[in-house]
Amino acid sequence: MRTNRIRYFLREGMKNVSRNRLMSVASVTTTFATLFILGVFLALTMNVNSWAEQIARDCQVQVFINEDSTPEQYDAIGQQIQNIQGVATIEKCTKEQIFEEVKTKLEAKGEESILVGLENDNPYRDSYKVSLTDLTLTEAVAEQIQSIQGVANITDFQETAGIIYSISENIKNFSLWIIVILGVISAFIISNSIKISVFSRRKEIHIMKYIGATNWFVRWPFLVEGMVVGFYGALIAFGVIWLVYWRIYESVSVQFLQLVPFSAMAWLLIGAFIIVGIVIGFIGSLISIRKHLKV
Amino acid sequence: MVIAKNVGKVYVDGNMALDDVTFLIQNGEFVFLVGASGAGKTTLIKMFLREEIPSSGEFIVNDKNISTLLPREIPYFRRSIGVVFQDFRLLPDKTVYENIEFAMIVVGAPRKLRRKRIPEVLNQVGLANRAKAYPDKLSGGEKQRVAIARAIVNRPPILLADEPTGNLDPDNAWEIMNLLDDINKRGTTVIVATHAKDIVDTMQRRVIALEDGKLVRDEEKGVYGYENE
Ligand SMILES: Nc1ncnc2c1ncn2[C@@H]1O[C@H](COP(=O)(O)OP(=O)(O)OP(=O)(O)O)[C@@H](O)[C@H]1O
Ligand SMILES: [Mg+2]
Repeated sequence: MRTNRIRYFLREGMKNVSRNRLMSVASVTTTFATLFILGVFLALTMNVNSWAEQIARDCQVQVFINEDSTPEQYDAIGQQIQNIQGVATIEKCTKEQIFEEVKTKLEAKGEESILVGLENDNPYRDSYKVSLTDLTLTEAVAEQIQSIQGVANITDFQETAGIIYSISENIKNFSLWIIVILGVISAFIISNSIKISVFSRRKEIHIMKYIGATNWFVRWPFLVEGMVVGFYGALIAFGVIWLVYWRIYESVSVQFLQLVPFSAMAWLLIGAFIIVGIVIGFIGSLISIRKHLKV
Repeated sequence: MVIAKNVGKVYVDGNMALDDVTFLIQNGEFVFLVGASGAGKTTLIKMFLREEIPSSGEFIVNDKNISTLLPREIPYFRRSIGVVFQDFRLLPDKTVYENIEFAMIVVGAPRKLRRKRIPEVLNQVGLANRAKAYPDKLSGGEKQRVAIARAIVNRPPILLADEPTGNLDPDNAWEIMNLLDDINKRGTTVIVATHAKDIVDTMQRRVIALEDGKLVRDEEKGVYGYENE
């Protein structure tokens, strides 16, 4: 296609948008709403994922050693754990350390009497705190640790992370459906708007067809119109999401949890918005022109 | 060349618009299509454009049987035919120049060619000084001349006119007919459906007359042949 024509289609499409102003505004608004909700879900998913990662990083598995192990065996077990794939770091926690920790905690509450008589009969066991590189490996790592000679048992810390992961999966699925439904609705509204545009230009289309215009030549300006509407919806949605997110980020981040900064999702959002907006516009207008091409 | 061989047309509602019509039009001819209202003139014009196809018989334009044209061939087929109507059908939001240019853009003519060709046709139809005017500022005769310029700007070998003077006073009607005559003299086949008795009688060109869808007369240097109601 010659640039000559592309310029013609763009100009005519833009002209349609402004000629068909009221309907264009309606279409831009619904597209904006769809994309805004898409943006909310994207931001939510990204944050939940980032929390899950954060928790994975902090989450440690505690590995307890058999009571009758010698200090050499204790060290050797540590060496073996370190060699397992998926293990990031290990930290030695002797039963004496744990006893001291508990003691300090109890002393703070004035309840250290509970421990009287236990100094020489330490109820705790030697252990390792193991942190993982990747939470999805938890089970495999746990299994391997369990099979090491001299390991008594291990605690299972990954439950919270697992829950957050499944929440994030659910949000993803749910938002996908919402987006599909809203996308269909906006495509429908755009298609109605384009229908009006096509109707108001039916004479012109008729003349074009007599002169020998191909169907695609007739279609393109309307497709451009739909895509321009989708594009405007995308820009507005991006601006509004930016503003809203920035507000929430400012007020929430400092308090208890760290939100993903907007800059980390800006490209994803604008990319997704523009693509989804333009696709919605394209499909919407394609539907509406079909029957007006018969002459 | 145009060949109509036993062409019949029955509309979906059962209306018989054409009935066994046969004729041959050579390249470069000038033909009047006459007949009372409802005789089938517009239906015949629509076949040249492949807007309607025959229910029976064959209609062949420039070696193409319109009944067997593929949908994607239709636009290219239509580029070999120019057409003007009684109601001009100009685009009100485009200037004279832009209305004509529109026809060239549609067929993908490059800008350079458009710049050269449009002043030529404007001259040919006598509107060189009205290029920037909008249609609502033009007289009926001028509007029809713009429509003619748009129809011939891509140099189609055939020009159709369906009652081109129906909305014009006699003076303007004559000017339009003379213009069509001039276009024909430059080599274009011209086919005019008309009720303009005086003009048909005076111009002495080939006349094809329809009556209730039937071809009742086809004569060289013919006349209109009956009184208008
Ligand atoms: N789309 C259509 N559907 C059904 N019948 C039609 C259609 N178009 C035309 N007709 C009928 O076909 C017949 C021929 O109509 P046509 O328009 O060809 O006549 P015409 O000679 O052009 O008349 P006029 O001089 O009034 O323009 C008429 O009886 C008309 O009512
Ligand atoms: Mg007619």
